[in-house]
Amino acid sequence: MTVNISKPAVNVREKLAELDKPTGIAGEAMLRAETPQEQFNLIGAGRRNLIINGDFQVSQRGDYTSATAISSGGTLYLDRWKTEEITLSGTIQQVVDGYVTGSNSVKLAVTGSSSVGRLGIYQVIEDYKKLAGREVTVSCKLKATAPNCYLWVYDGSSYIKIAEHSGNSSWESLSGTINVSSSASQFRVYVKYSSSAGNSDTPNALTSSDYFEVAEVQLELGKVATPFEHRSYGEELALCQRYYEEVPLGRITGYHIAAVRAGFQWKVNKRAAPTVTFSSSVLSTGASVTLSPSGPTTYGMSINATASVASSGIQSQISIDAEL
Amino acid sequence: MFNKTEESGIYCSTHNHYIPLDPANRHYQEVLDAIIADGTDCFDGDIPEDLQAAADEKQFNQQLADYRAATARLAQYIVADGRAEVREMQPTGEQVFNEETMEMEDVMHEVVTVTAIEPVEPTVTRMVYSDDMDAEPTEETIENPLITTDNAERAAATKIVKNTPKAVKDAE
Repeated sequence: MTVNISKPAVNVREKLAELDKPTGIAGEAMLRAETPQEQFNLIGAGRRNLIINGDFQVSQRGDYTSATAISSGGTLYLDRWKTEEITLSGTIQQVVDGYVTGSNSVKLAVTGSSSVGRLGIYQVIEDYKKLAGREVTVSCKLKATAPNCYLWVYDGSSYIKIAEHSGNSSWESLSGTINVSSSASQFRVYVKYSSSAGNSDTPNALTSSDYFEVAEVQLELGKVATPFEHRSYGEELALCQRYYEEVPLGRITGYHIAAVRAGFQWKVNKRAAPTVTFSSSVLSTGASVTLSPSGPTTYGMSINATASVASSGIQSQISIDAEL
Repeated sequence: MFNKTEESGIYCSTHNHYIPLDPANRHYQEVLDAIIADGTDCFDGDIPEDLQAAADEKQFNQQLADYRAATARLAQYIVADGRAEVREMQPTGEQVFNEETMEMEDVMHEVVTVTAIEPVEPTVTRMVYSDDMDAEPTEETIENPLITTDNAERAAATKIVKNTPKAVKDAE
């Protein structure tokens, strides 16, 4: 028996042309990815930025929209960012819409006649253990009027330079990737003028007209600097309040007769038992009152009040500090 | 100035802070640092035993960490001298039969275990520019900054090792 089979004609040229798709390198990388997780990492999906308040929105400690003298190194002004001030002296300022509209920046300016030293800000990362032994990328937008303005990281034993600004007074995107030591005992991200003999570059003398301005600081896992992850003010504030909370002057829930103990719960649970500071404490009658905390924990405290006169209410401003 | 209270932890009268007795709190760590640095001068009255013990432990751990870092720094080669190559005979993993001893023996080969590093140039020359824009720059010869840094770091490490208490060294 004879069987006749007919097959449609195939245009080989057409099929080959189909293979020549207009895909870029990133697109091909996506196609080559073996797993959805790999694709997820490639596009940097999900929560990426490990820096809190990286766009300098939150400033619970005060209004620093005008230049404020830095009192000493290690002081906190804008939430989560500590200052570094060695030999140099300077001011700090939150610049609203400083980088682009809707994106703040922070400006640190050199004051006085300075030569060499360090002036900058840094953030201590709480979850440093998740970075140990892994590749991380640090990025920011930076404008500096003089050389020796850097993006650095510190892993508990070594300072590692990530990138340097050219010092030409214009905004530049800085980024770099490092392998974090598996024995890292902490992790800090610095943006600073470091004009001292301690680094391998030629120290550049700074003058009182020099400043740098930084915006959109990001730390993420992986070797790609993805676009800055914008979070809402409310989200960022809640993240900051794990470390610091300011209760503005207001009435504490409690009633003073001779001595009172009132329960007080933080808005956000704290990283550790916090340091508590009361200020401007008065009774509703205007008489002074002494307040002290009892057993502050990660979730709240009791407030003890003692005064010489009875009153219907107590008011105070409270700072709750669990910063690293 | 600090004082410890029964209910509120440590009170800092300088900043009007109430500091909990929590090692994760940075102000608590600052209290321990103040006890290490200033002793009873920073405290209103005697330092409570638990705080003194915590401060002693912190100081011991700091000294031990510094001692380890300093000894590791001193173990590095001196950049001005360079480093000599070290070779060792090591077994290749193969064995051959020795007819004289009638035993299997390892085949050995020479391996470089420490690579040689040339000493750096003792001095470097750099151009010095005057504030006078019209003046010609001049050449200046200075000690190689790598040697300067190495010497300074070694001197600092030597000082740490020398000043480390015996009890800390013994714990290593």
